Amino acid sequence: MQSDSDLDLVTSARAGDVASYGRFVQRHQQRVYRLALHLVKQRADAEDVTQETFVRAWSALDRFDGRSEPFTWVYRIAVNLSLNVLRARRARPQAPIDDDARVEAVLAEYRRSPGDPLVNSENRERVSSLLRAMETLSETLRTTLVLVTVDGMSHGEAASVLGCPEGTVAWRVHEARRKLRAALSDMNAISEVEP
Amino acid sequence: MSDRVSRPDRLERAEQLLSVWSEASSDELRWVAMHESILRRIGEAPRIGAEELLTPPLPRQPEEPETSESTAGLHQSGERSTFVGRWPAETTRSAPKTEYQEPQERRWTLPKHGRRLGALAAVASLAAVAAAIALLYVRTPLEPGSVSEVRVQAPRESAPNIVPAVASVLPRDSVPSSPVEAKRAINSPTRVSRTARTTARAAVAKSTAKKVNAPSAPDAESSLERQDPTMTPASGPSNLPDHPTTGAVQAAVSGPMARARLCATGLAGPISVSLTFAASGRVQDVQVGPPARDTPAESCIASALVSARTEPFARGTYEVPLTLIPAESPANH
Repeated sequence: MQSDSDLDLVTSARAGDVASYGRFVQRHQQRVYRLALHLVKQRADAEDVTQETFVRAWSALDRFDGRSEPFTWVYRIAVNLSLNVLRARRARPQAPIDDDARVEAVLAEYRRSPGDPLVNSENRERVSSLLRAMETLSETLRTTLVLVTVDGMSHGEAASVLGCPEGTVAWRVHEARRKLRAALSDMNAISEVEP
Repeated sequence: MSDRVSRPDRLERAEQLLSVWSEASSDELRWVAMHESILRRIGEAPRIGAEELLTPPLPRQPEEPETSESTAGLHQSGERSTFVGRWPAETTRSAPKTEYQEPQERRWTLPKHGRRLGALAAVASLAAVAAAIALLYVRTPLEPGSVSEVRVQAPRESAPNIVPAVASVLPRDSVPSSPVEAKRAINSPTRVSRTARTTARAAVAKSTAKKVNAPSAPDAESSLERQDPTMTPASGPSNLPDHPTTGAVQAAVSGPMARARLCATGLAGPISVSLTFAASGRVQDVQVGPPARDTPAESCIASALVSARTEPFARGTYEVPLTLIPAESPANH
């Protein structure tokens, strides 16, 4: 049963099989958490979004019509919930970027293989700069970029999640990277004149 | 940032750092705890709708191009997407004009030139089903006793969903803003048409069924109809056909059959299904044969087919034998 496809699991879950849905959750919860963390930036909120995503998806299983991949369908719910969290948080002050959970999460992967401390330091700065630059992007561009660049989705899959044409995804990724280059260039120019 | 790295490289190297984070790092116990928490919440959670969460999530960028031609050359070297080279020329020509349309499906649609025919067939089927439903609700009252025998799969819609369902059939100035108002609207003979009351009542029945949990959905619907004297049908008109026409049956089952095929994904061979329509045009009974019988797919198929509706007819019941070809199992991603 471990080799069941997502569609098999979701079909069984629609018929009330909680165990199948449990396997589906197990298969995708880390990916959904990663996406949520990149969008909402805080671990606690990302965990809440992840749990809520699968609970809401279970409630809405009857509306899954099989025309898309189950995980892209779940991703859409996760993106919507993450954006809801961001919009609700908008009035509150933002956490400083140095406390961004994403930086530590990315660098944790590198610490597993101990390397040059200087390289680790450069990596931290590089990731921090990129994440700071990503904050300058619009919600639309940032979310699209996270799906394609960070999560590794194809344009078709991202289009399915976002409900837009593939061409639009391609344009957004290009535009986001163009703006990121400009933002990183500005940051570099500032750091070069600083003592 | 290091001066040794040129500007273009800097972005790509930073992106590489992010992409290496293939799985969110955390200890195994936390994933297990999260998994258990989700399953516990599933058992406890009310059946809440998620319509707002299934809509396209993001607004369009103001400077976004209208057509895809201008985006065809945007692929950057090193970008991880497989977009370039996979996009058929036909898709490029017919690139969508707006952002908010349903995603272009890749795995479940007909191959290339068959897609347009498939779309036309789907539109024709929908039109036929809509016509059949319109006939059912507008021309003829329900037959007595037919509704109570319908087997309905437990609905998973929320109480607030009553409002859109009612809103779609009510006059604009009488759209209710809450489930309570929706129920009030149903009982208001002066403001709401009979069709509107019928549709709203169905929505209320689904909501009521959900509150008392899944298995009681049919009871909720039928008991609501029993309680409401306006649901008691008038004596049958004399101009009803003896039984539904083949075309009407085909129109009625085409959509539900497509959904039922998905339920049977992965099963081997054709599945014999027998559909019994009541005189009202609703499905009274669904019998699913092997190989789907006694499998999880059986209830899924039954719940898909029970939504079929045809025009009312004079004969007591009308049985339709069907053969269901399971959908092909998509490749695992």
